[in-house]
Amino acid sequence: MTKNIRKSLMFAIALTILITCLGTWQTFAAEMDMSARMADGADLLTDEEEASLTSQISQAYATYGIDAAIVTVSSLDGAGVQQYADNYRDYYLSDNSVLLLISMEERDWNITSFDRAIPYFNDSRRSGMANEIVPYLSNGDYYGAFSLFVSLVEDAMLTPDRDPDSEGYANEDFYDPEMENNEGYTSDDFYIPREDNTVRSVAIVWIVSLVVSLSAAFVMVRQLNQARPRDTAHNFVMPGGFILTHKRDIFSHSHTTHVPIPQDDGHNSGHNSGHNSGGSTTHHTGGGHTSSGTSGKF
Amino acid sequence: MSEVLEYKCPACGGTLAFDADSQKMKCPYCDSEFEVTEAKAAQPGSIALEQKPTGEMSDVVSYSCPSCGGEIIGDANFVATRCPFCGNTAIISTRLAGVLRPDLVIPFAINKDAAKEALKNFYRGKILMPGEFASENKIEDITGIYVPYWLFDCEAGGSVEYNATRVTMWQDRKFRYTKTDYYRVYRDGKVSFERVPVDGSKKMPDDYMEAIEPFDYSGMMAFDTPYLAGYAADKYDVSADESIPRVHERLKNTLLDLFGQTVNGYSGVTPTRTNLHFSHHTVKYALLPVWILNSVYRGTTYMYAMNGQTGRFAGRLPVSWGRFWAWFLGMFAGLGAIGTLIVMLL
Repeated sequence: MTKNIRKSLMFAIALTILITCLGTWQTFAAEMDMSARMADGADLLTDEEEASLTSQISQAYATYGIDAAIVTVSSLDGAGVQQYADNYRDYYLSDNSVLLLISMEERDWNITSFDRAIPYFNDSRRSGMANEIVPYLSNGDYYGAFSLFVSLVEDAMLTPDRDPDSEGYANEDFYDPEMENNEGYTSDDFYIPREDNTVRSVAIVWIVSLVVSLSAAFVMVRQLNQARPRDTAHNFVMPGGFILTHKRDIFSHSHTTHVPIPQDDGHNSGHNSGHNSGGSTTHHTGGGHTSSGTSGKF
Repeated sequence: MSEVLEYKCPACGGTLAFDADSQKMKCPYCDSEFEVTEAKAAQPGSIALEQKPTGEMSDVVSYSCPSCGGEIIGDANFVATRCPFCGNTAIISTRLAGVLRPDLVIPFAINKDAAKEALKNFYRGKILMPGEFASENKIEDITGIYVPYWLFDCEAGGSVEYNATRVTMWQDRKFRYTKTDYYRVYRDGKVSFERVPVDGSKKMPDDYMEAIEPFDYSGMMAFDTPYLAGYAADKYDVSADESIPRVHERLKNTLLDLFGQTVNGYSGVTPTRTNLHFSHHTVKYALLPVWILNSVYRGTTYMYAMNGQTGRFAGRLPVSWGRFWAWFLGMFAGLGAIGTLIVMLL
């Protein structure tokens, strides 16, 4: 193999690796600080239980892309539980996260979803999760409660509730796994189980390969013809030889059009999949992130 | 009767040739070098060149080489050529006389070895070129030839009108707005050009001759016949008048480009009316140096041309479509397989 051929192939291989990595960089971009995802400040768990829950949280992220976190504290130190949860998100979590926070002194629990995770964990879902988890907390089975939390988070990723009233989200942002046509949805808007991405990713790889190969081949063909006429004579303009004797720009008329911006009127106008939702009550954290939380006592 | 010039070496009597490296007349036998004026003063005078009858092929002329008597065949336009038998140059002085005498010449600055090396570099790395093309190609046949050119000192001027638009967008809570302002734009002006070249030879494809531009006119000399020694040369067979349309096209495109560069700050600009005029001040006839190789491959001629002063080259090579599809399919399959493997592993 000649040196040039070897160089070309190495370049093609490097380009493919780069393109594929770019297509999946989101998966690697965020460094997961697992100590912030399983933070047992109240020391309710054994080391083995903590390790097990950390592994479950990592698996949930790897499979569904959801950033789940479990935080226990001895005391809220005078802060409200929702405020504490919001601050925690601002400092430690990403924009697709759901948090279970419990405080032992106040006996408060809080389940809050943030930003892009809100459609999956609206008011009714969080209440449903709490109904299942709180009894475990009340019985002191903290590992059981937390493990159930992660399991319910994974279930939620497969069956998102419709929540057209959530602030900032329109019907088009909701993914219905039962619908045939989810036109306009991208993986930035919702989370697809990783298995669903593979076929599409492979198809993209082959399409990119086709385009890159054809382009490279035609560049090589073009290299063989280097006789191109010159349609101008810029090289022969005398120094100072271009003189503009008249220059005039005259305004003629103006024309303005306007189109209305679609407003969110709260109606379910596009996709009626039959999922009922109770809506999501949202607010903003101190860091400006959207938050929707449910709290109670155990 | 045609007359031929040969420049003899005062030292050994060999035939001198113009040397691109030293820019002097050099004897290939004794390596003596002489200034052009020296060599010209020493030449014994022109020799009557016997033209042989060529029968019905009236566009072919045949001469007997004054050095060896060998037959030199050429068309009606050649003014200098090398004898295929003894290699001596014969310059047909009668074809360089009167109105046919060039005004200017740029001597060769790149020798044959450098031209051959450049050609080999041109072949290198051309993956889709048929392998047998380079091996069959006789690089040694590359020929230095002075190509006749017309050089125009001229001016282009006129006026151009444009419709131009400027778009701004903004929005409020309820609407997105798009405002388009319409303008009429006027530009008048003129451009002066010096020595715009157009090749005056039907044999030389215009796209090749333009592709190897520009020549460095600082190396241009008043024409003198010794510069042709050792090279081939043709006189023009495309007149200056016949070259004018091509000149006008290049001038027009240049003027429109320059006007267009002064129309700024708009989202869209469309010329609506042009009114251009051209004037020619002087036209000079020049011989400019080009290294040429024509190769025939499967019935098609492929030319390689290199500027004999600057080294800029243009060429066309055949495509091996078998290699094209092999490379395309190989890259497609390879990239696809590697990408699929990476996706599966993730």
